[in-house]
Amino acid sequence: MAQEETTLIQVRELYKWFPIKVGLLGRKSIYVKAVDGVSLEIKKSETLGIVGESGSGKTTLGLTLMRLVNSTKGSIIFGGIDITKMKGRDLKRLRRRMQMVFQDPYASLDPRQTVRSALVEVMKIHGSIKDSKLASDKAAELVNIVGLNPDHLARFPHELSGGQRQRVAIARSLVLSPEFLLLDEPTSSLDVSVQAQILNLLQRLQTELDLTYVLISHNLAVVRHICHRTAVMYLGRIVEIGDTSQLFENPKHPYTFALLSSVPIPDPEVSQRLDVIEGDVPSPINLPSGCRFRLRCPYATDRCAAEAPLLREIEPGHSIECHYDLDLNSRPAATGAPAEGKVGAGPVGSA
Amino acid sequence: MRLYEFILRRLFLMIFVLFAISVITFILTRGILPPASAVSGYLHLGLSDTGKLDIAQGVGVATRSCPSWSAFIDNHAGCVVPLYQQYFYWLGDVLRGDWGWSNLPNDFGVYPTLAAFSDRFPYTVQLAVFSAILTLVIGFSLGIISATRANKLPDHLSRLTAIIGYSIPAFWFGLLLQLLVVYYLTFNGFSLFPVSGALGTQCAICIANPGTIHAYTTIPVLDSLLSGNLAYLWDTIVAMVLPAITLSITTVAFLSRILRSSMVEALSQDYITLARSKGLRERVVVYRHALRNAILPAITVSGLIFSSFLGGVIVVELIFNYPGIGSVARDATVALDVNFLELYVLVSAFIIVSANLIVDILYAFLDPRIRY
Amino acid sequence: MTRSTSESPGSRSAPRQTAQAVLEIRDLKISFRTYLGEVKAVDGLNLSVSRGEIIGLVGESGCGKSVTALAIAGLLPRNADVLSGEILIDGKDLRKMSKADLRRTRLEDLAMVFQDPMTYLNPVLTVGSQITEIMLENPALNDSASITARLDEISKIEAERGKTEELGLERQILMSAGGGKLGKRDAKRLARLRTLAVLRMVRLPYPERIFKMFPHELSGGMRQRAMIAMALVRKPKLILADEITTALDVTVQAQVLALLNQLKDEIDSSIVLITHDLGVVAKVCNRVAVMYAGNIVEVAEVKALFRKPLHPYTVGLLAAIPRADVAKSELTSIPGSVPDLIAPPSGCRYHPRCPHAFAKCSDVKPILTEVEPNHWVACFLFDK
Ligand SMILES: Nc1ncnc2c1ncn2[C@@H]1O[C@H](COP(=O)(O)OP(=O)(O)OP(=O)(O)O)[C@@H](O)[C@H]1O
Ligand SMILES: Nc1ncnc2c1ncn2[C@@H]1O[C@H](COP(=O)(O)OP(=O)(O)OP(=O)(O)O)[C@@H](O)[C@H]1O
Ligand code: SF4
Ligand SMILES: [Mg+2]
Ligand SMILES: [Mg+2]
Repeated sequence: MAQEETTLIQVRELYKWFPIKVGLLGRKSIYVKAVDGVSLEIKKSETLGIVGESGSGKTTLGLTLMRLVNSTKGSIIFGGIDITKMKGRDLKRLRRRMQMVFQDPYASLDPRQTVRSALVEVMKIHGSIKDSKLASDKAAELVNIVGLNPDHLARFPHELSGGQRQRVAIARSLVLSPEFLLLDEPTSSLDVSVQAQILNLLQRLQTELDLTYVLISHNLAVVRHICHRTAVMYLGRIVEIGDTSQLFENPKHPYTFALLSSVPIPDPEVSQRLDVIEGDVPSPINLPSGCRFRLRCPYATDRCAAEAPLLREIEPGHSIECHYDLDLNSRPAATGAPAEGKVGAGPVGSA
Repeated sequence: MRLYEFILRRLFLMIFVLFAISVITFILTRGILPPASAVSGYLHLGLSDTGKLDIAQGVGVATRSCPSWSAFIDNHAGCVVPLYQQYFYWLGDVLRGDWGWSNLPNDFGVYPTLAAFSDRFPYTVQLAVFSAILTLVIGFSLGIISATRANKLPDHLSRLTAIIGYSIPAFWFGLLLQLLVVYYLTFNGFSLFPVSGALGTQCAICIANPGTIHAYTTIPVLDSLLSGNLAYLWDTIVAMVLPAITLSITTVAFLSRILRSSMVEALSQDYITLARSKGLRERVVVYRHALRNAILPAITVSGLIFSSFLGGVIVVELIFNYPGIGSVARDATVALDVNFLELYVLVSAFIIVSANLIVDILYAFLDPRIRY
Repeated sequence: MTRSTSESPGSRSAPRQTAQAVLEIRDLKISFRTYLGEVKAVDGLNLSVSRGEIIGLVGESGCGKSVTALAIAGLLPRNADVLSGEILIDGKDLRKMSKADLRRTRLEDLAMVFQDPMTYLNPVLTVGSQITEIMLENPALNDSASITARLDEISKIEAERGKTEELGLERQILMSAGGGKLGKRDAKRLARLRTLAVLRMVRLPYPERIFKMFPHELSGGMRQRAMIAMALVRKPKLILADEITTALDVTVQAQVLALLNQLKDEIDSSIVLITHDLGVVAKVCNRVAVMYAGNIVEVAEVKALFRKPLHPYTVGLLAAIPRADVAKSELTSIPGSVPDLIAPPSGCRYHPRCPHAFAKCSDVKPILTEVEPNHWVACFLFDK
């Protein structure tokens, strides 16, 4: 087959703002800008990694893509069709083509359902297979695909280990033969020794079933290992996107650089400067003017405060959202204490 | 939102609450009772029918065009003022400070509602406050003892007390206490505590002639203090002991259970582990770290508890012949005293709403995470 | 400060059984009573921590890291039983201590820092008061002997590094004791002064403001720094840090790790750093102990362990973790999963997952032996 790169999903200027009520009688609305203008493209059969710190909007972006949460603005084109406004039966049909695997396999499985009935139920709901015998066979086949034994079919979730539960969750997402899987932190509740099993499984399934993945994770090592392309999110926007090897070996956005330098490398001989940036991620309610990273950025200038940078391509397939082409390896040292305004910027905004 | 904004908002809402309650009470009394009952407080023997009609017209119940008292009594068309008009007439008076006349049996013939109320209300205030203090002290102690010795003997004892407190009806418990004191706890022919009245002069620990006090506040406890008459103060407090115990028995049970569970919960929190790991004394861990957090749910119910005294007080005052507002309220209900009931219900509502407001404000002070 | 980590203890039954060990655990066995049965959480653990070192305790979820730490601090929940073993702090056995002495040890010599800074800080008390209370609780800090000692210390510091306003103030407060004990107000002022100093030490900006703040007003990283300050204020001999960066974002975790690296040289305390992240170990620890299902299976200097892991579990773990700095072509996974500790495997608890297991492994439990200088392994492959 020709190595033709077709686009499966095209996202344009996607916004998701959550209103929160404040004020004397709860009339004033302010917004949590969880996704704040994201454009990206997901190619068929690739794995796109989305990394970012907690609260950067990764899950919200994923849920919006899946139409599990309605977007505030923007468009999502899936396989050539705009799905942003899709409803009713069309939406149900769309759901078969895109599936999701959650972080906590225990919470996403019904504790009173055996593995078999969890799988068969999905087929019944979507009417894909009506015959019980066939459904059972299909369930056995799926269990086999994800590396479990047929005797696991009769078990309840609590009779399975964490890794086995996650395998069941993956099997369930494969029931309807989707083209696209959204994996939201699929291994972060698993032990490291089991994480490798699941990552290997996901890679095998991708080639065997020709799947397209979006993998959300805050674990950069996992993303580096399994993703073809990587997008870095910061406060609701993508600040850098590119081929994984390009982005990890030659990060161009100062935030990506900081994020990568912050990961402690499991090798004592690799010397690392850990505290490359200061402060915490600010809340997505009161965003700074201009570039949203500027308060933590060691290179910030007046221009960064005045003007918000836009995502621009700096080399083929590699874009950043920064005004400058910086030489990040000769960076200024982090300065002393953070600015006054950052003190007490806790996660719970007191009135 | 700032705290003062929150308070303002709540006070603002309180006006509506009181307004709604007054309307409901009005409908439930004047709307249901025969129109004449609105006037009964003003009537006395020897009043002619024309005089009666005059009064009925004066308080805004009978229309000017109503020909006679009997026509008014018989509810003739056009004789009785529509209820909503009666309400606004009444409201106008009330806003001018005129609560009308009460028809409670009394020695003076005529008796303003406000006077009937304020003669007795101070006694109930002091009894309720005394009971509240008793509830808080005993309830908190029992709760803390239970929680720190969870599932040990003291906890079981306190649980037993609580179950008894829940299940015994207050009136029966009160009578039981009286019997106990009168028949068993007697010394030299005197019972240990007085079993009736608001000033105990006839008991083992009472002071026989406490003298008199000047009415500065009309609340006897405060007045005896202000007058410097400690004997009077003592007798007043002694007289409240049995009624207050009766009144607090359920609330103590309630509060101690709530506190126990929130305390057990708090003691299992991570911050307690950290506090212990710091090598703090157990007393500091319990009182400074656990109680500060556990007190929050208890504060919430304390508001309810205080409000519940208003209902309980009626029974208790009857049993102990205590001259508080509860027994008057009962009389007023029996006598269908519309004006008095309106006042009583509104004051009760005001107390309940204020108690809740105070609870919320306290909460905001005690829990730094809450900012309204 | 001694941070020599190379002296050879010779072949003894437990690793690093040296004279100056701050912490020495011998054959610790802990189990939990549960409805499902007895959870054999820690099964004959030996560990020794010397003065001034940072030792990492790594292992996967449920392998008994936290239980070990809680046992050291004497804070195990009620359904836990310590079946056997000794826990020596500076040679004194904690298990033989009276309750009051144990509390005293926690107050002065032993500090814990926990994973989740939100739930472990008391939400209704200010950060400052949660730190000062430790000092106010300790009468020894206010008696004349320690006041004189501190005054001498201040003079020495001033002679070496020059006077500061802070030291001057401290001296002034201490002098006001006039040879006796400090008054209550002065003790409070002193505690506040020292709290501010320790808040500064953990690089919290604006200590005066943070002193008065409540935990929820701080960000996650700041809260964790406050909790570290709480540990440091005692100048303890040993700090038990349980997953202190796990709840933090990567960039914030990096800041806290950098702080630990800086503090290493400023304090005398030994630190047991509990984590499941081998990256964290590699960046801050001198030595590392790897735990699996209630046992320590390997103890070594950090460099030696990463360069040449010996135990099959450690080897498997290192091969299974993806890395952010270099691309690994393939992850070797360890088959199976962590065993259930109610019915743990016989013999070596790793044998059902171990690619090298042989007959003896399922019958006999291997014990930690020093197979290379300072490199201890519990595995029959290295039985000589
Ligand atoms: N239903 C909601 N209502 C209000 N705010 C929300 C809602 N869901 C998410 N948010 C906010 O949107 C922001 C982004 O959340 P999101 O869950 O997408 O982050 P994330 O990148 O997935 O973080 P994590 O790594 O912690 O999972 C957060 O500030 C969050 O508090
Ligand atoms: N209170 C308890 N009651 C019963 N079992 C317990 C209790 N606390 C811990 N355990 C068990 O003891 C074992 C060790 O637990 P521990 O908390 O020490 O693990 P850990 O290594 O700290 O793991 P993690 O990385 O998840 O924190 C586990 O199997 C756990 O289920
Ligand atoms: S003792 Fe045996 S089972 Fe255990 S790790 Fe060594 S080889 Fe594997
Ligand atoms: Mg998420
Ligand atoms: Mg733990």
